[in-house]
Amino acid sequence: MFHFDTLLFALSMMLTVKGILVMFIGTIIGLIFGAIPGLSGVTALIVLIPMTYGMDPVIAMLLLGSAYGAATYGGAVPAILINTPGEAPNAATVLDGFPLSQKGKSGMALGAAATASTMGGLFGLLVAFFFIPVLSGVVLAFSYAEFLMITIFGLSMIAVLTQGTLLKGLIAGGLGIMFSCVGYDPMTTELRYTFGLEFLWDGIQVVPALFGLLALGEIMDLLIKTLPIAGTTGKRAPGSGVWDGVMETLKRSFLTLRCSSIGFFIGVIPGLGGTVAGFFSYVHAKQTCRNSEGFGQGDVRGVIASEAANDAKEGGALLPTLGFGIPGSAAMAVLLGALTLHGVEIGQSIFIKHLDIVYMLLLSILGAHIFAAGIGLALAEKMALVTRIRPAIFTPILLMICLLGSFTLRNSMGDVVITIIFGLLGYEMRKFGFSRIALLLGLLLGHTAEVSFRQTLMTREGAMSFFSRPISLTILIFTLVSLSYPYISAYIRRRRKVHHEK
Amino acid sequence: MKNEERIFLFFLLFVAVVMTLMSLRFSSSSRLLPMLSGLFVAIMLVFLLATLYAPNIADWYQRFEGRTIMKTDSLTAAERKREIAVTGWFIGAFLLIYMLGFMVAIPVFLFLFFRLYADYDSWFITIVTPGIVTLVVYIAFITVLRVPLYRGMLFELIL
Amino acid sequence: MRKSIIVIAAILFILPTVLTSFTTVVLAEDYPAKDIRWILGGKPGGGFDTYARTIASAMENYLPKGVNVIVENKPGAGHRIAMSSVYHAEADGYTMGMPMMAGLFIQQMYEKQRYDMTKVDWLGMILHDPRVLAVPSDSQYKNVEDLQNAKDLRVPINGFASEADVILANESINIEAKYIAGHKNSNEAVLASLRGDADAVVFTYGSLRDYIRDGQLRPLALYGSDERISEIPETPTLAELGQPDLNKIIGNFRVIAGPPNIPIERLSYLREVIWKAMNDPKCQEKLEKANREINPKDGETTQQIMDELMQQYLEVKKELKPYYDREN
Repeated sequence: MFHFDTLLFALSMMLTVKGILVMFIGTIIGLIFGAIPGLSGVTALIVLIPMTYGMDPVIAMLLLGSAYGAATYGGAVPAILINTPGEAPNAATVLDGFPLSQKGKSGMALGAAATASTMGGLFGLLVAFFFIPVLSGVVLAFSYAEFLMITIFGLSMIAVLTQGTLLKGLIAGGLGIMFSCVGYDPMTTELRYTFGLEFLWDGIQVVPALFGLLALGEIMDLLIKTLPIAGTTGKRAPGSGVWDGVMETLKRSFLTLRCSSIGFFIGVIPGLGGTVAGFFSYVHAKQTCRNSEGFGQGDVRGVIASEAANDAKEGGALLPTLGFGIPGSAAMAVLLGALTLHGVEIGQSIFIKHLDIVYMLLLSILGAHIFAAGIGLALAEKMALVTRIRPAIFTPILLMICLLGSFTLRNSMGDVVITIIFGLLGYEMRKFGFSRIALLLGLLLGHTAEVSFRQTLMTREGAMSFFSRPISLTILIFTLVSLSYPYISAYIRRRRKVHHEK
Repeated sequence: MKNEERIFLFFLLFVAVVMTLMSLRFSSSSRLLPMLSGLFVAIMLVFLLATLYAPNIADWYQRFEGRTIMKTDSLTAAERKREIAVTGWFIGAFLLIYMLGFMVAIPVFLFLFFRLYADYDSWFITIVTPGIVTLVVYIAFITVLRVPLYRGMLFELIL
Repeated sequence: MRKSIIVIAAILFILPTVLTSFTTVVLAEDYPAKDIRWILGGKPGGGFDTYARTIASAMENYLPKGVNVIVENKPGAGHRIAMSSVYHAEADGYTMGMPMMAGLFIQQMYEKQRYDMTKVDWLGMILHDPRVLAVPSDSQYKNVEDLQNAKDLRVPINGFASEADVILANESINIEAKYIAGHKNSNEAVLASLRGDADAVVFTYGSLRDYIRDGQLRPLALYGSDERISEIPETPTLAELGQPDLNKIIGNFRVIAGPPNIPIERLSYLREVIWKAMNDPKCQEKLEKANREINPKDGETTQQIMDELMQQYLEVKKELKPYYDREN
């Protein structure tokens, strides 16, 4: 399966002046598209594909692969600096990235994000590179029952992600699930809570809700408090500490590795999506790291976890895409279209007939990660200055861009209305200590949970398959254990203390 | 502050109850998740409200969970004034876009915001910045992406 | 001070207004003088999108210089949002759409919609893509007969509204199955069948082609094609299985439509441009490369085919109703 000479050929194609130039251009385009809220790696690919019509397929892959590879890091930048994920998968980066900015440590967060996403991306691609034939069976192991269990596990993370009282976290999560029921019932043809409004038929879209809750909520707060994000005090420039972030990530290679593997496996399962990958690995980090009290208030490990996972997941998404012709993510679907456009047949045969193109694609994504990290690190200090500006200057611009981004998603003014409403809701939730992330998780997972539950009931085994399928049962038990673990460990500690005192 | 929070909680409770009641009209399988989640939220909200009105319930719950229930920042009078103003500006931004479309609303909103809300005098900020932003949006969305942006109610009616 | 604010705001307001309306006001006399909007119900990067963008760029070669065809994605509600905005657009020949014909008309038969497919002006047809009944290649079912005899079959679909015709076709040749709805697209449904949660899939030939060629799926029957497809010569059509009438109404009709009552000279101009674009060798080559088939029909023929199609749908309205209303 692995052909060293083909790899060398692809490498030699890439390392020409033309190849590097193309890759550099692709990386810049990817970074810009990733960083602007509302545009994404997918839009970058769609804009670039027509331009590649006349190109040599290898060069075309180089351009597309690098634009696509750079977009995920691009999305982390606004997530860290202004609480606005540039793309949905960067949502978990907000959790610790933005608090770091508030502490005046944007540089550190940006450095850590760049390093972690490069490492995550490298890991994901390398695993995909060598193990695609071996691992593709994993794609088939996840049925409706497993999907339900994974979403339940995801919902149970609300308990870990919530800061402050759990009661409010549960309410926020429940509201999210309620909102996820809006729209067309996918199993029947029934309309729920649409009030005759057409734009609600497909439900409340995640991206407008994300912009509303996180970005608009934060804009309101900044305008009301009138202080720059990083405050006015503090002597250090917010952009310094970039190398601290890099070192911090390298020091925690094991954590990066673990989070990358989580991201990779989420990527393998088509339909779960990168946003979930970020949250899963964030929670993993929070639960397994020592001194985890600082998570959510600006712990650089949170940024590392989220960024490593959401870049590694793209490597995972390559498995179903190249192995079965089933796109593992939205960007992969578009990339698949680009491949067929250049005469590459998708499916198992791709490894025999078009190995050079596959290697080219992988190498260009790899190269883009490194380029993007380089550019990101070089510009981090300049970009971090935004946290020192008076909010009244950049917030109205950000507001307009977010509204524009929500609109272009589906060319619908309805989504702009959703953004505004969720913005006001997000501000109130923030003010009264409700977790906005919990609401987001509910909204994100509620739909999948409902559909996969009802689909499981339709299968031959019916409800029994929740317990009879080994993976499903394992995830269920794991969920229960991880939910009760804090209470059990606290109980044991208390017992031990009592024991000692005796 | 306490009162505001209660209003917010009652509002959420109202939403949850209405959505639960509406779900009764759905067919049996469509009803399941909306009803369950609606009921869950409603019960939790009632409990949270109870802790606000009855201190002994709050004490009991705090001992049970071990974390403090209330963690809300209190606002100064000036901040509260700005809160209303900013909400107004948000809704104003939407109405501007709705009436005039993005390409007109963006410069107008930015100019008005800088001039009236933020009180900037410099021409660079109030005129040049909105101009640059509009130009960038025009190039990115109309020239490169060829996305037809919303044109606004007013122009739809006139033209 | 106040005055200057108002003056500047007014300038900022008027300037873009004049700029945007300039093109429309000055050049409104001869058609086409401004950009044509092509509103789609499909997401960027999908099948509808690929067809539309490729044909749109070919159309620009046959339109006066400076007139572009702008593709606008308005996904949502199973193409209904896109269709109703095409339907209610001004019939000036500057708006066109690419409706998902079967699904939209089926819904219109039973519930009032914000569009009326019987009234729209048809501009052309790109392809009538038949559906293929296929099973995973390691399946125990080798032919249609096996499926007819099988008990407790599971078939994954996207939704009952869009695939009522599939269910009707299956039952007409005595294949009894339970349908698992809620799959986001054909790929997800194929995956469900590959991992053994379902026994057979029924999707358009265009979307299953790669899986069949790759040996992951085995085609058993062809719904909605008068002749066998040369790439899968062993697969019988619905007519050969004894249901010639249903053959005409099943499949994905990739059609191009405009709002009702486009002025006749503009309509024929637009139809001609689309016809030329679809027959453009470069456009066909691009679609071929993207693995998308094309079998163009001109506007008048499309009008006939669609009128006939809707007539036939109305004839099976009663038979289709239970599948449309089905609940799980």
